[in-house]
Amino acid sequence: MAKFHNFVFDRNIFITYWKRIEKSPLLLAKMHFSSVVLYELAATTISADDLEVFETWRNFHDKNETLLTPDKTDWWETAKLIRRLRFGDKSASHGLTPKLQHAHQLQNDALIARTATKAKCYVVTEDMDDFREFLPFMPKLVIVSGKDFFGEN
Amino acid sequence: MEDKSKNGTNPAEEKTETKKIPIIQTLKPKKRFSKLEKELIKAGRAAMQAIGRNQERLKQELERENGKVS
Repeated sequence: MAKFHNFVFDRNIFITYWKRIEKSPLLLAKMHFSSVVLYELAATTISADDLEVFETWRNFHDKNETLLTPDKTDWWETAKLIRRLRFGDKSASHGLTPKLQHAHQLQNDALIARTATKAKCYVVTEDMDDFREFLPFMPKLVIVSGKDFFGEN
Repeated sequence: MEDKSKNGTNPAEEKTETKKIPIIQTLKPKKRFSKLEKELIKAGRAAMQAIGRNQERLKQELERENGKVS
């Protein structure tokens, strides 16, 4: 944990802790923001007005260089990772990994994890189990639960 | 005479758990925010409120679909 000082929130953290985040200027100013999470939030937003709110937020993170967006290498490396998880290739350090039928659903999480690690951020998420699947392939990945980050909600 | 366990520590002390401090409380506070950080805070607050509104709308839609709302 100590190796990274910056953090990025998974979508489920915004859903669960939005009131806590709203009340914390420090979190709002310091967080890094994932384009993948933005996509997930925007794609599930009903109101067009709220979509504009997300666009404004995105633009300021872009300006602040805290918007984490997967590049072409990230997509390719993530595709290889998901393939490994699906078909159980050998990882460098942990031997044969189990097949995961739901691995294709992990694509977004893998993109968040990869871009966060590259930006020296830890990932705060409620889906610890899903992100743990990446650890054999992303040894630098640091994940923190919402409870460990915020305490009791 | 104090009751000691096999390793010589007091059993009462062994049961004491250190309470984990949430990371949010360990973040270095800032006294002043830059202009861009202030914009991030303002836009972020609006986004959090949008998330809250959206969750409420999704909940209402789900309830309507389930026939709970007439």
